[in-house]
Amino acid sequence: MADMPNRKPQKTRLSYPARNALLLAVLCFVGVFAFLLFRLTAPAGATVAVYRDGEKIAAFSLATDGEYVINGGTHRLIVENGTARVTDADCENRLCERRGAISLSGQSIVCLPNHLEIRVEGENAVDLVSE
Amino acid sequence: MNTKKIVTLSVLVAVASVLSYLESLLPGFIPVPGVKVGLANIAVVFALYALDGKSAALISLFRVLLLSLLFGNAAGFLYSVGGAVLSLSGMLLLKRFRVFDTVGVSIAGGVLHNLGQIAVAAALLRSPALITYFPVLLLFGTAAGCVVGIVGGLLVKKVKL
Repeated sequence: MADMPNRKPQKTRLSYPARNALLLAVLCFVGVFAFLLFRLTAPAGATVAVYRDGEKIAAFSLATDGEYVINGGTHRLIVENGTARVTDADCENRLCERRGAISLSGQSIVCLPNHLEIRVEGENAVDLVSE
Repeated sequence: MNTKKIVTLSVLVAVASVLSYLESLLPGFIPVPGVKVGLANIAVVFALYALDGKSAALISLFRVLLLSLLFGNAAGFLYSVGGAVLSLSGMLLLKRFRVFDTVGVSIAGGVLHNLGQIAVAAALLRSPALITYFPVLLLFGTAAGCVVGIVGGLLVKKVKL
């Protein structure tokens, strides 16, 4: 490799493969840890809010099932059993549809082409349903 | 900059652009905006080690510019620039101080590229909540960067400019 010295790294320093493995291990650990932390600590949400460019344009309860046309018709939002998902997106890549259903507080579905974020907020819609 | 250098850089810009285009044809592996394999980074990592940092930066920025002009929109351009600039800066620093070889550098590049894109998205959508995408971006960027770094490293060894 052009820029790398041919000699081995000095004894006190880690070799490149060892450093790569270390970096890989640290990043994977942080990633999995952060993922589990969020998954295990985030409460089920109470409402699902629709934001365009950071401004809340609509909000619906997760406790009642329903189908809503949002953002002037670019998406259809479906609330079912305390979860929310979108269908009929008018964007090209439809990543927002493939994101699937969200239910934990803090989770969001993003549609960058439409500047839209659909975010679950609050806590414990499930408890509200059972009461 | 002599003729040979100009031609070499042009070819690498073309390679990077085609790789980006091919990648855009694949369905997204993970339905999170900003998550990409970053195949084009193979050309950038190659340039970084076979040529120099300036060449790598030129290739990366010209690719972003070219693809945005051809297929993109203004917002898409901002995400790409955010990702590319962050990723490049990180890779240049790590390479200069010899912290990692191609694999480590490109893992860092992949992760930073994803983080840069999501940071621009969070700023544009004014939504700090996008931070919840962080774990997925981190894991995917790491895996993709690993592959890119291995391929890039092989090319640096095998391809003589």
